[in-house]
Amino acid sequence: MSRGKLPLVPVGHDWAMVLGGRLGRRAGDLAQHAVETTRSRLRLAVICFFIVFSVLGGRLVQLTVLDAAPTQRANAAHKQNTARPIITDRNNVVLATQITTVTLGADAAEIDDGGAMAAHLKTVLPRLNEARAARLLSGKARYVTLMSGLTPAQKQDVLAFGNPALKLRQATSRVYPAGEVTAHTVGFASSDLRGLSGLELYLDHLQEEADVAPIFKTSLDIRVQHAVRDVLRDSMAQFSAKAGGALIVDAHNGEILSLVSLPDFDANAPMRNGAGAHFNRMTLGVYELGSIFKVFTAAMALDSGMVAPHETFDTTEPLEIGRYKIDDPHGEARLLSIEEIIVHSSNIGSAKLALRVPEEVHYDFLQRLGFTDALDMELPERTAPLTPTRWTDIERATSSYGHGISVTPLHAVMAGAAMVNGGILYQPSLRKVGLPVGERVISAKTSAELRAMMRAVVASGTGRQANVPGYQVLGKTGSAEKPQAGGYNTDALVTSFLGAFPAHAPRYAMLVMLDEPQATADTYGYNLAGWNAAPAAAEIVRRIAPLLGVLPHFENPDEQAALALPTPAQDLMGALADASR
Amino acid sequence: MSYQARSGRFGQMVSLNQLHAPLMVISTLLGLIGVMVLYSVAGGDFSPWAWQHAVRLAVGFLLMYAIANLDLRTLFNFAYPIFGVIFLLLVAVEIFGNTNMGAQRWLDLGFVTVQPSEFMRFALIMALARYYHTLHRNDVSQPFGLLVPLAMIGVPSLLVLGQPDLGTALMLAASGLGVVFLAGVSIRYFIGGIIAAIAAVPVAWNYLLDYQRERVLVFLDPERDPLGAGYHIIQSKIGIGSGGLFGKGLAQGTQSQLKFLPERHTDFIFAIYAEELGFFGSLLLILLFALLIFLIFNIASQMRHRFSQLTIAGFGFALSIYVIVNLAMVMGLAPVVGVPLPFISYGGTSLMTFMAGIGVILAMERQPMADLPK
Repeated sequence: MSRGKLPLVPVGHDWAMVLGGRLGRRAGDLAQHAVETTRSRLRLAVICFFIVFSVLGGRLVQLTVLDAAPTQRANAAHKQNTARPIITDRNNVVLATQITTVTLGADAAEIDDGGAMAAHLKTVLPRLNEARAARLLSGKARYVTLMSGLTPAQKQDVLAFGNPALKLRQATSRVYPAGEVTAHTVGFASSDLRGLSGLELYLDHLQEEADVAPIFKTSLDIRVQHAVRDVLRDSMAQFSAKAGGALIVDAHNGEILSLVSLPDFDANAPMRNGAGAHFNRMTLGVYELGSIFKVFTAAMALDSGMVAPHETFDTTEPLEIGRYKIDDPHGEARLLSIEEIIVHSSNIGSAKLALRVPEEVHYDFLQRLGFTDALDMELPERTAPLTPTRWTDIERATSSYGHGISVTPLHAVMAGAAMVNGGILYQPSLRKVGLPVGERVISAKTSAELRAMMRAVVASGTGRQANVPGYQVLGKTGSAEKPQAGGYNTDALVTSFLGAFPAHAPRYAMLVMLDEPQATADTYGYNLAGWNAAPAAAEIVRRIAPLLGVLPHFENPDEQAALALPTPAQDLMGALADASR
Repeated sequence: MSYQARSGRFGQMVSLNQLHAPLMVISTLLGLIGVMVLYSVAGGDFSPWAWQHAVRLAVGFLLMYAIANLDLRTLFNFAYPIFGVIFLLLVAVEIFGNTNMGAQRWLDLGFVTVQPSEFMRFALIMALARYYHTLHRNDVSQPFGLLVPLAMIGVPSLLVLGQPDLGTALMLAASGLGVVFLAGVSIRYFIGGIIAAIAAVPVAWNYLLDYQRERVLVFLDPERDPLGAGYHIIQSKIGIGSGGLFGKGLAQGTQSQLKFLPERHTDFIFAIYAEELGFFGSLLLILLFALLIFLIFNIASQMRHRFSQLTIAGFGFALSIYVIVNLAMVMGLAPVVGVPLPFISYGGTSLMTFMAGIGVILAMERQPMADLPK
């Protein structure tokens, strides 16, 4: 039988007729028409498949010849990433660096006697798991990993075997000497040295744009970071809090000296802890921070000129706005001055202060404090606050005491610094700042008044437990009920202390936050900020102020004198007195 | 052209040289290429895959030869019964089937487990060919004349879809619709069908399982999930791309030897082949498939009986879409659906059914003039 060919028919012709004419005559059968139709369909299918196969061929050319690129691109990216900068704190203490490790592998298919080779390797590699190596080497896999972390001497010994089936692979791994302590700021990189979070991820973004210096110096102070984290961990344990966080920033340039968010994770083994540990509560979490917002409200009221400094406000009656009623839970129920509104943390007074300024001024003030946008800083983990969608009296009243508006703790501490540093708002920075550039948000006079008020809070108000003799802490407590579906959970609080020290000329601003601290016997059943966040802040100041070179200062001359170091003569007298006893 | 059926004397087997030699040679050659690649994937070892594939190829060759000996009338008479039996097997899978990797596809017959959905493909093609053989030409495009084949395609496809096995179900439906198309049903139905299918996309999206949706999204952007669902596509493209013009040599591909590529012995075998044999080797393989398909269509066009013609053409159509979908998937031109590369991919049912299909073509090509009832 001759193998017939499909007759070539130009596209567009009626193949059925052409083909059918030839075969139809031969068969002379009506059913043959159907056979002819199928032939025309076959032609169509052949043409279609021809086109599709051409596309597949084209794709093959593209993948194998034109851009055999995915591998090359991957290699290029890898090369770039092995040169990661060393990250240090402000005193050049290394926070992230890399070490070269050697890994021993083998082409098992090229090794005849796996057991013998494993035994042989064991003679120079005491840490080798010989049974495992023997099993792997007896297999047929073209690459098996036998052991990682070889010393240079061990590497030399293995090389001396001269067996080409043994593969020594150098790899670079990133290490974080401080582990958990800097996990939320430095972040971590993957095993192929790509930044995955924190400054490590930021550095990848930087490197995409330009070359980065081999040492990346941050504004962090690892000593302060350790101290803050220790205190916060103790507080969390003491009050059974779910989470906590603290920020220490330089009030005069926005440098972040310490950022702690708990729970945290070990950056050297980032997957060991749950996802919750990877959440940076200080920069990515937004919270209704409650009463610490009254500081901003007072600042706005005073600075706007709409409220006289010695004016008083009636807090005897709850403030009714529409169907809402604003009340003070344990209020003074009398006429309060602005300072007393802050010291006694009056919701009614705060709302009345806010409502005295026009709504545009109010919103504009929050905007200038940075409460409407994400902050511009290095960490990729940052977010914009949640602001009210409407801006009527009730939203203004509640946001005056920190409800209905959620900001990150970093937002709050930066604005807090501006309230006490003379009125300049700085952008937060994890790098050392050369020439600080800030923006004036309130007058120096208003700032001085706020310092006095906030000092009074610690000296005689809700923040008394934050007081540290000699360091004159100032601040404001906030105990905010956590929002839940349909309202607020009165049992679950976010407590915080927004402060600064020393009061006469604040150098460092701070924020300490605890998530759902519980009441204890020591706190007489209270779980408010004054009983947990404030004492934690005091402990932090006690530990970090000497590290930061802040000298103690007492208004009382006797106390100041007691701090003086004894002279050599006094020392001698004391020693003699001891000896004579 | 001779219309004499080539056959042995009564009671004897047909000798091999009476059969269509190129068809046998190319399909067997493809099977041997499969043995070679599977040997290479295992790092230059006949176990665990290459040896089994070779045995199956040998059994498949005997099966093909045995089927090639069958009388056309026997094939004709058994077209419906075979379809019926396999349909019942599909139903049985639904009721008694083994569950493997989250899908219920296998039927344990005691001595062997089979995947009836794979057999269904050719049973469906032959049954449809049988149907159109009898159907009067004028009724082909009549709504009633369409109803029966659509049911014959739709019900088994839905059964397979429910296993769930989207890839096989789509392939089954496409193979069946291929026969309907080749039978000459008015193009207007197909245009209408395509428009309806496009319109149904948003609706169908809601019915896809999460992993299937993810596959489509990942196909559109593999980097979306480079370590998860996009991993296959990326690794596969790296494999093909790293082969270059001449390849890295057998058993030298890093994607296979270092096991970067999953399913490298089944659905993604072409990536390994391309990595190790390069552009020219791949082009040769694609040309072999194209030649095989062209030969099959050519044989179909010479058939005088509608039954033979549609069976052969339907088989060629099914083979084409398997090759095309598999290659497109491996080269990142189509979403990942589990479709093996015929003759090459490891998998007994797939190899057997394709060899059996070649046997059917050989039998039909051998007896163009046999009398068939109307």
